[in-house]
Amino acid sequence: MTHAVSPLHYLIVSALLLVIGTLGVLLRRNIVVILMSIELILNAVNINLVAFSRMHNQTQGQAFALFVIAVAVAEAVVGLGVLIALFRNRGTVLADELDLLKW
Amino acid sequence: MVVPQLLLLTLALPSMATLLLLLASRPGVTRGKPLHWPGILATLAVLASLMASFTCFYEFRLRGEALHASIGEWIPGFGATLGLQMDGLSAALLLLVDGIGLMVFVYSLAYMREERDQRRYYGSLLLFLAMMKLLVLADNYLLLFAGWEGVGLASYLLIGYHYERYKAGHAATKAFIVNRIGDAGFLLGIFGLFHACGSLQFDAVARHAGEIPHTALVVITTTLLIGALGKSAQIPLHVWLPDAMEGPTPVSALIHSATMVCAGVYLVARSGFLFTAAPEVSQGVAILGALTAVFAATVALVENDMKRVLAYSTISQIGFMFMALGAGAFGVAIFHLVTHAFFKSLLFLGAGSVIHALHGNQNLKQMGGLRKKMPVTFLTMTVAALALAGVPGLAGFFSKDAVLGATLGAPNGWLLFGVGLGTSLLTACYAGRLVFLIFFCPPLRHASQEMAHESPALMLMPMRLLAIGCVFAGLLGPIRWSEWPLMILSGVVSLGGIWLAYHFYVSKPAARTGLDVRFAPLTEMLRNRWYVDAVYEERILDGLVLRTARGAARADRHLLDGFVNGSAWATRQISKASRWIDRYLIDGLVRGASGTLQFFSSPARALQTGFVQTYALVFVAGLLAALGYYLAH
Repeated sequence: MTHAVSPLHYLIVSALLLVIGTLGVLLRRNIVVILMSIELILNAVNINLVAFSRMHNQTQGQAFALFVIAVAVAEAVVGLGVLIALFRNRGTVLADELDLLKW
Repeated sequence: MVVPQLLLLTLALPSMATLLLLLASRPGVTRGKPLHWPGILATLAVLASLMASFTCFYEFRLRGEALHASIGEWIPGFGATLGLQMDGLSAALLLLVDGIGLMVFVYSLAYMREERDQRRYYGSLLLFLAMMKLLVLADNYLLLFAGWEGVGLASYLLIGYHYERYKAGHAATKAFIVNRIGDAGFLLGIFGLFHACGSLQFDAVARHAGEIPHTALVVITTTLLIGALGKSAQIPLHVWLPDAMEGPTPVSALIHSATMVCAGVYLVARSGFLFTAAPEVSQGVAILGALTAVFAATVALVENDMKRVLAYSTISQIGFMFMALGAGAFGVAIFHLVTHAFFKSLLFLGAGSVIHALHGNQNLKQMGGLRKKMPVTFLTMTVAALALAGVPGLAGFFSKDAVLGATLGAPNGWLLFGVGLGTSLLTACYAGRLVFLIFFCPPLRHASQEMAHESPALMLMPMRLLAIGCVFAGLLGPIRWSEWPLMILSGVVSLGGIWLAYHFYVSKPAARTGLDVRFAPLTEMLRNRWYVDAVYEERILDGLVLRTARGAARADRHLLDGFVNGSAWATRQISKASRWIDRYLIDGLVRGASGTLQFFSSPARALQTGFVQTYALVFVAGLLAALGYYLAH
């Protein structure tokens, strides 16, 4: 029954994750959630990579997914660090209260 | 010790003590009991300086020539050195100043005992002593002038010693201002001398004296004379001396009778070679002296304040000295100066003793009968008064006699002689009146009378010594026994004056009232001091000075203030215009520029919200648009 799951399903899941993640980044106010949404987007990519790697019977895709996970971890660390610094300075983690990019 | 050091020492001792007292110690009045160390220190300094002066004098007699000491150049190229010299004239005055000074300092120890500000008193008195010695020891006119101003300053400080009393402060200011007129004259004389001789050294000036053009000589001697008139309180600059009696009595004894006021006599005697070369000025000196002598003697006759009687007497006696100076008899003038210093300082010390006993009362009308209560004061003061009157045998007799003899040698000598003789009569009369009123007349009942007592020994000791001086000082001078008819005449005149005083004040006081009534306008005029002070105050002070001041005030208010206010108004108007330009033109330009930019940039600015999600939205929209475009083709 393994054939029941075709690459198309993977792509659909991946596309869903991408849309959910993108909407999360665009619509959620809490930056923690925004960071989590970014993780979703990255993982959408990872699913694609792993799925196509399996389909073509090559390992490069899986290795690449591992890299993406590592980069995602690093990005989360940096992002949370910035977030903590931001909270200490501004007392808030809500994106619509931070309009610093204007200056 | 070598001579220069000795001369310096006699000057340096009082100077250093002055500095110590005035600068090195804490200023102000001490709390609690008055300090005594300033007086003791000052007296010791004067004693030491007297001994140094005596040594100098001994050296001078030994060598038989003037001593010189030079400290160095003062103003290079100006002929003014810091040099001291001691000749016979300086020596006489130096010993006199130190000797009388010592007496007065010792007397002050007792008289000023209760004063709070001992330090200031003794400091100023020592300053006077140092400056007076500088004056008589200077070997050029400029240094003499420095001493001259120094004694003026010390005199000012001491007249105003009781500065909390309005009258004392006023008197000090008056003395200072009147002296300033004289000093201005003296200074002009110094300028003239330098112009004419190119030097201010006494010996250099004396060498060049013959070459000075006559007109210049007259101008120089006249201006020097103005200086002498101011310092020596002669007509018309005499008004300050009676007021100077506001100072403490020992100060009056030392400064305002014996020494400082004689500085004018010293100046003329020192410049004798100039005055003999200008006979018309010399005659003026004699005439002014004679006028002053008779004028002051008449005022002394009716004055009721004991110290003012003595002040007018001093003015009168210095008038005598000027008569001698005018006659060219400089030695005689100095002789009279020395004897006068003895008896006049003694009279002042005696007056101080009486004031001390009567607790500050110095009104002659409220005295009398003190003979029994103050025997020593009575005796010494009587000796001094007799010497002043010129009773034969005492100091004043010989010197006054010498002056009268000298006037006969001057042009118009008989006139001067007559005035001098008349003044002698008046002098004897007021001297007698003084003694009779204080010691003999029945006392009026007055509170201060009951408490009267003899002064402490420390005050009596200098008085006793000075009394001895009054008896014997006459023998120091040049006595010409060959002029015996003159001596007999002046002796008779002085005894006659005393008899007059006795007649009117002791034996028949009623006769005096009769005279007072008959000559009321005359006595009234004398009581008002010939209206000189009144005229000075009304015409010169109120009339000239105040009118000038008022004019100046008006000019100030209308011209100067108008200018100032006008410029303020103009400034205000200009600044208003400038503010308008600033606000509407310059600010308008700036605001216009920024407003234009703001207006045109507003759509672009609207893009930038600063929210990270807006940017992300635009980003995603762009991505989708690109994707849609790709898929469509």
